[in-house]
Amino acid sequence: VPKFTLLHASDFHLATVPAGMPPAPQRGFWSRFRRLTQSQINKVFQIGLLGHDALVLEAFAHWLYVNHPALDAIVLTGDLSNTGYQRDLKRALRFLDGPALSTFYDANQEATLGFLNRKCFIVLPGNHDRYRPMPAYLPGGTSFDKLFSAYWPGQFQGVWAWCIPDAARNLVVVGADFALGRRDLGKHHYWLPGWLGQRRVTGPHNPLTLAQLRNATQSLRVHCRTGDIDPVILWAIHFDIFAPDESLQLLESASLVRVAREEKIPIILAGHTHETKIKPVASLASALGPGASTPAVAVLGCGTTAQAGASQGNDFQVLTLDVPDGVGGQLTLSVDWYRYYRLRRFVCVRSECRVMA
Amino acid sequence: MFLVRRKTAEALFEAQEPRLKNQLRLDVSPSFRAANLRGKLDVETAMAAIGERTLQVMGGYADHQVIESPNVPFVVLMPGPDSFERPLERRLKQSFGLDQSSSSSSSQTALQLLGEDFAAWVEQTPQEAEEYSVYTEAEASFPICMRCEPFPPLIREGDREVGDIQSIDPFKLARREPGAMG
Repeated sequence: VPKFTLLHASDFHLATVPAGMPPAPQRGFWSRFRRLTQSQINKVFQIGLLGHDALVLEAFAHWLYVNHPALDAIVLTGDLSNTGYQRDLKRALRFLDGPALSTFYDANQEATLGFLNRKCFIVLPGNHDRYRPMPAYLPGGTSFDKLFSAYWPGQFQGVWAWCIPDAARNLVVVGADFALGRRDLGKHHYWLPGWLGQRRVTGPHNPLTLAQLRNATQSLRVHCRTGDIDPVILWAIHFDIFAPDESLQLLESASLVRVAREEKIPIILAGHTHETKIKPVASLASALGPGASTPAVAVLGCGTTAQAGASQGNDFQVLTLDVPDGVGGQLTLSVDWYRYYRLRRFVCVRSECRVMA
Repeated sequence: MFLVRRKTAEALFEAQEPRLKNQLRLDVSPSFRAANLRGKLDVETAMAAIGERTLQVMGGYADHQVIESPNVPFVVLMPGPDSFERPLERRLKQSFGLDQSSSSSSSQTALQLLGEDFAAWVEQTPQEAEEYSVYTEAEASFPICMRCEPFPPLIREGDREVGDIQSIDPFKLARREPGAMG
């Protein structure tokens, strides 16, 4: 039976200065304007804009340094950087591929995953990676695509896929970027603006992503076939489907779940809400409208792995998939949840094993 | 809970590199966070946050020794009342954003105050310190050490609950309690 082990981490919020807020601009008229507006935004959203905890990041790198030989892939579902500004994105990139001079430390004595093969990463952008260097963190930034092209060739609002081969049956992870378009301000919730935390599955500013996701899934099912056995296909996105918090919603989530059900996607990996959770979308079938049958889709949400001062804790999860090597078998999903514990290291705090339909 | 004194928090803030002041926040740690992260240092919160960060640095330092020598049983944190071990001192300076040069008297003063607070915490609350694997031998106050532990194996086969995916209730890992340090 093919067995795949994936590490899923998310929402690192890497910033130039750890445990801090994005610095306000210093000079000029626009800088003053930006400082004025950003400070208002920061007052409301300051928690979401807090950068990473360097010591938690170090503990994560340490865990990977010890355990990476047991993993097939490392899935990072967005918000690697705290903002889409070049300086934060570069810091995030340095974490992924900065040369490790000694164990998991780079030349600046900062943690790096540079000891790993770049090919083991599955990386996609989140809403923070797409903040433009503008007042109020407007959406639509594309600096991530340039800097992370080696990891995310999918481009803005695009789709990319990774195949983890096995002699008996392949595993494919398809990533999609449901970023808001540059002129899409989301759906405001009372007086709160939507663009800071929301993203959209489909709409006039984002007409292609969902169709591309479906097309990619269908063509990869054919291309990555082993004999006459289809690959197991998972999806990875940044946003939580049916997030209960209005300001963090993936708008038109129901469309995504409908396509996932039609394409028989068993698992969707997500991040964004900073809550580690498992959410069988079956229990939310009413959101799909009358007559919708129960979909066997599980959303696995990963909390923030490294943001400083995270009240929900700092988490990641390890997924083990026992994949049937023939037609008609059942996929078994085991999840081990790891949390930064006792101010020292990540430890497994809960384990579950579930048989998927 | 390891709380530093007000004067220690203020001294660490004063000793921060100018470019990092109010950027690298001393009032943020895994379970503490100032209410206004754009404002000046929240000293009350910083007193608790610095305590947590100090223990974080020490935990990372001890764990790193396990890579270099897997069977090392402990590391020394403070050999005597005056200072931390030199490599640990470098890590503390980096974590708090202090001037790394040894000639910086404000950094040295701040770290000395931090050392006094830490030694007092270990002496006065040995059971609490023990929860973080921090201890001293017998009746002595120094050296202060931290136990090193190997990493557990990755997957604990057989430790998982098994069930059908449809039967699982949506669940979330519980939020961390403020100040719970876990």
